[in-house]
Amino acid sequence: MQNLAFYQAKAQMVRREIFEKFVLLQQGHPGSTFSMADIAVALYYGNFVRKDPKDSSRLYDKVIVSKGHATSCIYPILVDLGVIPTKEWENWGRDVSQLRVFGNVRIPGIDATSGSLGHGLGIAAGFAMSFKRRKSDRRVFVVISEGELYEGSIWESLLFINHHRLDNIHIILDRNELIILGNTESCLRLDPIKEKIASFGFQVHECNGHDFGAILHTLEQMTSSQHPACLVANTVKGKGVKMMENKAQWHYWNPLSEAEVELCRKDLQ
Amino acid sequence: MKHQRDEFITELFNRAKQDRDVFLLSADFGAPALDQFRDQIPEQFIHCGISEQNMIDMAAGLALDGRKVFCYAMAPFVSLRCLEQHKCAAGMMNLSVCTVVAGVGLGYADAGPTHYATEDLACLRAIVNSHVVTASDGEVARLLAADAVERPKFSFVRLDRHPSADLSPGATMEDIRRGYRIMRKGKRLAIVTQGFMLSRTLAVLEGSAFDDVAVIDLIQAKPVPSELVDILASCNVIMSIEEQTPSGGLGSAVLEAMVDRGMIKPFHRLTLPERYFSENGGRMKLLEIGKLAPEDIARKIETILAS
Repeated sequence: MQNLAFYQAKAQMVRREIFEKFVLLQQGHPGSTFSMADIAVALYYGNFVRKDPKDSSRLYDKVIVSKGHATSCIYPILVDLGVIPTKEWENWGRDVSQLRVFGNVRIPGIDATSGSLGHGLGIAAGFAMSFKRRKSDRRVFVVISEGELYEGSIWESLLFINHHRLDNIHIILDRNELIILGNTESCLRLDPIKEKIASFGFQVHECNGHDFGAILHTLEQMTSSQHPACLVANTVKGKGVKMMENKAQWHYWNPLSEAEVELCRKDLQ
Repeated sequence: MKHQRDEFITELFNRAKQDRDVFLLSADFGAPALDQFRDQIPEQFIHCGISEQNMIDMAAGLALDGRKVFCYAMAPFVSLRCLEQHKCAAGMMNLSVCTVVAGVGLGYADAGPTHYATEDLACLRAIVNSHVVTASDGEVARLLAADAVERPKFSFVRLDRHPSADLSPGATMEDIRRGYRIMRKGKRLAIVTQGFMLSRTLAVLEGSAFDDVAVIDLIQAKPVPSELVDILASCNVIMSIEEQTPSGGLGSAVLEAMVDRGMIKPFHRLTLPERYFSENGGRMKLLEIGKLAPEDIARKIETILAS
């Protein structure tokens, strides 16, 4: 395992790359993308998502970003790992490219098309069930947002995953506390989230979603456990760019002046 | 008399024993044939609970891992309750997920309008990439299962609730592959119908004085087979009969296909009215209220042929 500085540098790379792309595109969802950046870095560079031993350009395990508006967060990582061709990344916003703000299965390394909330966990359950019945040791990581917990389908999936003891699914809940109209607890209360998920039979962990030591340690616990598990990762929406941090309006891209772009770039150095 | 659901699932079971990638998922909806499937090949069966949304999302995950997935539940719920799952999970990724929509039309008349599937055809055929087929008898249902395993795709198979005798001429795999079967030939009037309304239409014509009337069982309402339009080109007047509400169903599908080929002909639609039924009395009574009784069909044919 690498030292923490390695992960922090990778996370800065991810945020920097995706920020420049959003500036170019004048679109994107920086708040949610940046809140899950550290989680994504831990998953891939911590080798929880393993490469296919038969083909290093492919991944062995599955990752579903159910909060599809943040999928672009993993593109720089997939480029770095050689899964997405560099040319695709360079062309995005400039020329023909398969890449989109919302991911889809035509993009190498994207295991499920997402965008509409509440589908990813069910799709993950299908993958996990299929792997179990093949007696395969493949894992499925699924990143959901707390806003997705408002969708009833999530709770249908939790019920199913627990019943079948699908310990090959690892749920990471990116809890940045914000949805479009404000704070989740004041818009429509979700708490106590941990207890609710635990009551469905899950082993629930909680950590600071920007503390690599804590994330890596918890993922290690989850992947070595024979219990359906969920990590509630407490995060900051827009993490890493001060003017975006904890600001609901940065769910979407907003126009920035040149001076503001430079300020953001400084934060991401 | 055959139950379409048992014919379909028995064929699926026979295929699944040979093809370990065939999976049957149920949202707590049964059939005698389903019991055989889950007893004998439980590793290919999944009970999803009464959770249609999760069932379709999960089917997508299974299909992404190369499985041929069949989702089975009562028509109104497995069609519209999880419509967005059909679109976003199975349709958008164009996966081999076949949803078996059991009890279409007013099949569950006694249960009331929550249990009707009288808008499902319009909704399901609107989803990009969908194939929508309807069984009109047990043999068609059996053949549709065989075809669905042999040519897996994002599809919906609509089945009737009640048992019925196989219609004549008997269906063949060729009929399934081309998407329709010609039940009667004629030029003055062509009736396009499917499902339960097919047997009702044939019964009306049987022994009647109406002649030169074609009847086509449009098994595949989406995509409408282009050959159907060629056949309709040689007929003077077209009529569609369906156990669906007026917006976007079978008649709409046939009209769209004709207009897209530049064909304009006199066209009459017999559908259920734009309303839900709360009356008691069962399916036949509701069809009578909805003006789809045999007498209504006969009267309409008579009027068309007289004009």
